[in-house]
Amino acid sequence: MQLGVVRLSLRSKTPRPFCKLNWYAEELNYLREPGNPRKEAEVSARHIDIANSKITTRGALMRRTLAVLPRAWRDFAQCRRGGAMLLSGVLGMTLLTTVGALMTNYSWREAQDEELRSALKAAVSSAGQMLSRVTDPVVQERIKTRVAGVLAGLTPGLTVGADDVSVTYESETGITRVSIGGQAQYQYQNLWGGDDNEGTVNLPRQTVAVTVDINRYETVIASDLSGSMTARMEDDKEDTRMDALKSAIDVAIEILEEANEENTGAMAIGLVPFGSAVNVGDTSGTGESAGKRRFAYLLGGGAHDSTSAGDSDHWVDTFHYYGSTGSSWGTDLQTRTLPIFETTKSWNLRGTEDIDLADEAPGFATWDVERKDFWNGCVMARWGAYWDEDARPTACTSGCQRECPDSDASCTTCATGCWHSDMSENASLWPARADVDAWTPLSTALTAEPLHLSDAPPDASSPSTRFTAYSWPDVRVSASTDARLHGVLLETLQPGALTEINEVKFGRGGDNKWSLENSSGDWYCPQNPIEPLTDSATTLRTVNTALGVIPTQANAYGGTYLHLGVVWGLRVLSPLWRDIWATTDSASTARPLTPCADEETGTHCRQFVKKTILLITDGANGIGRTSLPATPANDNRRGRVTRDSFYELIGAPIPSSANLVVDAQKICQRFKTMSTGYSNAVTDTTESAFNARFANLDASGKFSGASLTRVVDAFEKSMEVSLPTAGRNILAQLTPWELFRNLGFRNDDTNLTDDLVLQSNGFGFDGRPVYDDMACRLNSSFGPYGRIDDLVQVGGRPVEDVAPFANVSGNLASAVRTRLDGWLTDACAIAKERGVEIKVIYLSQADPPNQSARNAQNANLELLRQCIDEAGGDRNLDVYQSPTAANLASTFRSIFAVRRNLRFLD
Amino acid sequence: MTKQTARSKIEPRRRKSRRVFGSASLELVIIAPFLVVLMAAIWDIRSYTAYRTDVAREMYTVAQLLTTAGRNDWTTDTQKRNAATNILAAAANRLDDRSVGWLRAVVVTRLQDVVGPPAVEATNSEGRDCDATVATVDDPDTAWDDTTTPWCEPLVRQEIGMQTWGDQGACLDIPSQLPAAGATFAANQSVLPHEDADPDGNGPLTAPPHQQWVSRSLIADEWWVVVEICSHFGRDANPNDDIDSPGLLLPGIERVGLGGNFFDARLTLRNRVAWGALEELDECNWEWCD
Repeated sequence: MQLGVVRLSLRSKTPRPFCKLNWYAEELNYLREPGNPRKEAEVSARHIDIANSKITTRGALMRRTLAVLPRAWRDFAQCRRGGAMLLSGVLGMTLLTTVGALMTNYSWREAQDEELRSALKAAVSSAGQMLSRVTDPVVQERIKTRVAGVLAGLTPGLTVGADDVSVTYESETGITRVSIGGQAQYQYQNLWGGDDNEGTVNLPRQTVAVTVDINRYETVIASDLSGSMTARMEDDKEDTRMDALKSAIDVAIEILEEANEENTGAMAIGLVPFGSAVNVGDTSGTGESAGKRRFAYLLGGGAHDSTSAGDSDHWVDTFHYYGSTGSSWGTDLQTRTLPIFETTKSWNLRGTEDIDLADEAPGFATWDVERKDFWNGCVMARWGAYWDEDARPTACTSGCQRECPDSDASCTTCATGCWHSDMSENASLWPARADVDAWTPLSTALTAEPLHLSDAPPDASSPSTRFTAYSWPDVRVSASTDARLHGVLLETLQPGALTEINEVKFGRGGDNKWSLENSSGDWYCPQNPIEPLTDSATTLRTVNTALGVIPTQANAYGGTYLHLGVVWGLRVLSPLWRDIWATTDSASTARPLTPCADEETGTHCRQFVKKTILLITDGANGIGRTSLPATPANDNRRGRVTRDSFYELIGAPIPSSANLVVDAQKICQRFKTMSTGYSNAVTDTTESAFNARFANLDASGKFSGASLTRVVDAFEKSMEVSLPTAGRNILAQLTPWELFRNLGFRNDDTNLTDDLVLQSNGFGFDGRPVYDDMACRLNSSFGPYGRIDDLVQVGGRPVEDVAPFANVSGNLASAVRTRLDGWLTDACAIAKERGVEIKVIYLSQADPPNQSARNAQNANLELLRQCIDEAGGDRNLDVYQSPTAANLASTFRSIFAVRRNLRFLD
Repeated sequence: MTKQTARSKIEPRRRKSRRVFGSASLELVIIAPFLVVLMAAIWDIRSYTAYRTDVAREMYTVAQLLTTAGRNDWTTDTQKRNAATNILAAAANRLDDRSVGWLRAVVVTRLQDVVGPPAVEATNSEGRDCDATVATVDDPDTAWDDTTTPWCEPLVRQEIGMQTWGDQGACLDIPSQLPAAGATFAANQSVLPHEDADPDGNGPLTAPPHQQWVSRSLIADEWWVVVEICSHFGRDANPNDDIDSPGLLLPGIERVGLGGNFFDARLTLRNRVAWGALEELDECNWEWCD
């Protein structure tokens, strides 16, 4: 039998050494004395071969013991000296009983200590808000009294006074330690024997360490300001949803005041009013302002402080400047670019004074501000995926000027700062990853995402990271002009038609007012700009007072792009945008803050920063109504164009309003009745199909010969003009698609349609026609992504070869909404990556009037809940329904309540 | 062959000796059950102690969670109550494995009179000015402005909920002592379980006077979550329920007829704890959720 180094064999005559109580001790002595004369004999007698072993330790003894256990058991079983075993059993029982009693008493005492400790924590918590002001000696004494009182009340047999409680505060760590101990009346109960330790005992000191973490809240109220916000709240028919919202925001401001009074910088609030666009800054006033700076930052790619004339970074797109002054709108369209002004220079884009652009833009003599045909604050989205190499924009590395010809691959003909439309990219010109790392330590989560939904800041060197200016529409338009163009189209396809329906006249009124002359912001552009994070209650109250639906005129509807609330809310909260917002709180701390991650410390980040986007809406995603109610109801000119065709387009019922029952639909029906070609053409979605409706075009598809004569006649009949040669020549350069459906934009001459509004060309348009066939089923929608089917352009070039709402057909609203819904959930997912919480308030109806309304409301709620899912929230708790003003205010009170976190550190 | 012969002489004696067991063996056989019982009893007491500690810890945890829950952002009262109920249900579920009983939690704050305003307005730094118009107190002492002995009746502001699990056993006869929502604690009725303790043995009415209890000096907007529990395990708790009571020995004995009668292993724990909120009442949802 081989067991380790011990070899054991038993013989029948082997003595029974284990039938002794002290065999263990003997064996130990034996093993510790290698020279013991008994050793060899024992070894020999037992046949235990340990001659070469090193058994001198207890470990070796244990091995030996294990080896001889079978023998030991046999010896024990045959042992006849039971008295020893009986003695062993009695002693063992006694010993076990004693140990057991001590053990249970100890565990019982441990349990009492544990309960005492739990009670101490509860007692500390009962000190409540006093724990936030523990540095005050008076407060410290109150804490002691309260802790002692509650502790005694919770713990049986304990009488403890304030003197038995100590409170210490470590200012560096913010940790408060509360201890009890010393001589106290306490009763330790014993379970086994002995008197309870009742009376004055030395209470073992119990200490709990606790901190009261004061959160720093950065919250953005992203509110839908679309026209439906004028609906009444259910509990107060006098107040609109907008009124209720403003009252609720007042509640938040009051909470902010209290929070910051107690802890400076504890709360900052920003506002993001949105509809189908957002307004990034107020450009009014002649002095330098935050709005102007933002204007420059966003559109100029950050070159806001540059004073060098002609800096390419000062140029943005999509503006259509009618350069000359005069009484006639739409003349002398000069350029599509807008210079970024020096922020320190006196200019006011909403004033009346012309702006001298000699320094900034030598091409412009002055900027005729009064015409208001330019951007007033809103920006359009940018396009492309931030980290998607395929979508990165082109940027010449050096020696380039904007609009570098495609043929000039190396941009040798340019001066500085141009780019190609092929989007081949110098990756180094994109926003540096280091910038994104400002979101420490969340940068690892910043994977590929749509640029237009991300908080990646614009970069001076990367055109696609810029925002483009938004205006709706991007050219001046009038309803009469558009309707007239329809008359031209009808007459072209059906000569003599206008004669037959000569009762239909096309009034010259009904300008669509794409810029609001006495207001701020473009059509659909909120008049209220984004308000960056601020802890100033005064500022917030001013902003809240000015809050209004989009726009302020009656019968106007702005559409709802919910994702804009989330996207711009994230940008307002993003440290990446700190330089763009350029705001500080009352403690001179730049906002937004960079939050620390768990366990992260350092001066580069702040602890306990809670960033939240509060998305408020009363409806679903949807494009706005693109046409006005046309000419005023008292306008006796027939042929008014109204928005009811829009409803026809989107498949929604026409509101039963007398003002909306207009002639436009009748006109459209009449057109359709008279001309099948017209009826079909207005629904064609491809250029080839549309052009095929026209006869006698030349080989290149342009008007020529008989077709030219026909379209000229149509113009003259419809517009009651005599088209001059210049006008005829323009028409001869166009295909029907370009004239009627594509606004005359051609790749080789983007200004061609501009010629349609020149008086010298004689077309008689009092506004530039747009692809906005309101009368007969075709329509356009505008928003932050531009016009439907338009490509997003940068530098006059499309950023991508697809439009955000490309190939929209059928139910326009449904297709657009599907896209917008997807953008919302994507934006919510990005917010989650940034650690930004989203909460949603849905201004719903408590009891929708019918099943259809209930279904719509449920669908809206489901979309918002999907957003919460993507944002990592609780879909059942983070979507608030507020049908009443009272509920809305209560919800605000709950959301903005300052939470202190009582944290026990052990 | 010789070896076989030699072995054959030895074998019978060895086999015989193996069949002879010594008195030590018999003693061990006799002692062993007692040792086992003793060890089991010790273990049971240890388990009982641990269980009692678990229950106490559970109560404090529930109180803390409910206090925190009251600060959370729930839209409606229904959602909040559901969440609070879930906390209680989760605690009850954990205790359900080992006992029967009930668990109740309420929000306690200062007295409000019938018209609503707090009995004591926190107008000074002490928060101890009392409203003399309140007439529903148990002590019609008009000296409300006596800041040396300010006190007010505690009020059950909210009934967070009550959870029961299993048959109630002995807990059926031990009703909750916490007042219903909207009711105040009566005179000499403690909020904290031992604030009416009697160290000097003179009875709760004499020392300390209830006006000096800590629950009578709550700050105006202070609120506590008070959790009360009754947990019972034992053979009579639910004979048909295989309740895994603490310990090794007692659960077995209590299910065996005579043994169960002889060893009355029932255990009923009744306790109450309170956890104070960090926020003032008007900052938490409990204020406006009702």
